[in-house]
Parts: sequence; C-alpha cells; structure tokens
Amino acid sequence: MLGVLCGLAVALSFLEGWLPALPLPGAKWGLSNLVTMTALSLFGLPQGLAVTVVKAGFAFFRGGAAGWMSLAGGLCSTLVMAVALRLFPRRLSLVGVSILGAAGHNTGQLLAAMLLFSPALIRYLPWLWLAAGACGLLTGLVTNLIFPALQRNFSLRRE
Amino acid sequence: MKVGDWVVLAATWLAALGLGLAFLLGGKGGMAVVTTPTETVTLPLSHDTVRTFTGRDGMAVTITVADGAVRFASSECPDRVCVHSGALSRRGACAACVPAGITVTVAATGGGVDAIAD
Repeated sequence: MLGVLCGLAVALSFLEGWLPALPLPGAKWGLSNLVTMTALSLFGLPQGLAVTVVKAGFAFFRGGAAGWMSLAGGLCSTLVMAVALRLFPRRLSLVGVSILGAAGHNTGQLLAAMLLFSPALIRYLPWLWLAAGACGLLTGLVTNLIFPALQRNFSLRRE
Repeated sequence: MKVGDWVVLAATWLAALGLGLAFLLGGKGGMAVVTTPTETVTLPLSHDTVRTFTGRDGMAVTITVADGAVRFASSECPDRVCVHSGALSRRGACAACVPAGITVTVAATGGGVDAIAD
C-alpha cells in the first residue's frame, strides 16, 4: 500500500506540472500533498515521511536545487501536518491540515531556496502563504471528498 | 469543514498580510552595505554611483546606486540571481551573489565609515 501511495505521490507531482502554473516562483498546486496526508492519517509519521523522501528523491532527478527544496519543504510540511493531526484530531479536518501542510512546505522550500540562492527571496513568503491558504483549502476539500471512499474500500481507520 | 479549519485559514492569511505589511513598511533605507570576501563598503543611497567589486575566484560584479536604491547591475556569475533580485531600497532588504561571495544589505542612515579594508 505504501508503495502505491509513493507512486501516486510522484505521479501527481508530475501531473500537476500540466496545470497552469501559479504566478509565484516555486509555487505549485500541491496535489501530491493529498497522498502525504493520507499516509499520515491512515498509517502514521514514518509512512508520511517515506512518501516525502521518495518524492524528494524523484525531484533530485530534475536538479540538486530542486531536490533539496522538495526535501526541505516536504519535511517541514509533513512534520507540521503530523503535529496538527496529533494535537487537534477533533477540531481540524483534513482541510486545516492541508493548509498547514501547504504553508509548511512553502516555508521550508523557501528557506532552502534562500540558503541555495539568495536571502532576498524572503520577500516572497507573504505571497507564498497566501497561495498556501488557497491551494491548501483546495487540496483539502478534494481529500475530504475521497477519504470516505478510501475508508470504505480499504476498511482502514483514520488514526 | 470544521471550526479549526477556518481558524487555520484565517491565521495563514493574516500571517501573510502581516508579514507583507512589515516588509512594505520597513522604512526607506539610507545606505547600502556591500560585503565582499576582502572588504566591507558603505554606499549612501542618496548618491548615485557605479562601483565594481571583485569576489571569490576573481568574479566581478557591478553594483549601482540610483534613485535611492541599490542593485546588482551586472555580474560574471553563471545564474545572475543577484541581478534578478532587482533594486533594493527598504531597510533590511538584501541581495547576494553567492558564487562571488558578495552581499548587499540596506541599512538605516546613520554614522559609520565609508569603507573598511581587511
């Protein structure tokens, strides 16, 4: 199952390149976050991290910088989401978790970019958080729609 | 969607707004501090000037001050990220040419030396 999720995450990362790009450097729709969230809430942190690392591994094929940014963003995002899922299981649905994950990913990724390229990049952070709110909301709503179906078909409980 | 989701969304957008405003209201800078591997130079933003600095591996960059802002006008580095950072005029703004090891930071006006050579 974990292998399937990893493959799905990489596929989604690739496919969202076909969607119109967002007008911000490094901003993505974040569809593959859906898979990380699923791995986190159905299985746990180790599995969520596994998906993150596999995604980053594939990003390294596109370039060292891209790989490091994906890893930094992914780790930040996955850890934030794991904490959110652990601390607020009742008050947050996957939408809130998704938004936090998106914001975390953008922040981690920007920090890596600032280290790799220039600290001046910090000026993009407010815009990236704005995008994280919107894209996190979108992917969260999509996940909320398919999650019940996943639970029914695979008889898996949400942690 | 649950209550917490709205809280997270609002908090994220408020944080974005707050940070954005903080950047905008940073206040106009008075001088640019250029740091290279061999020297630190202060350029007042009130005087238009063109200076060339040599960084690591003999890489040269040209830094200009014009209209109260400082920028990397040109550079011998491969990616020109420094040049694309644009013009800096607000306190705290900075840009760097990482391959050359040269950074430019905008600081408030205030006493200080014009140049320090190691």
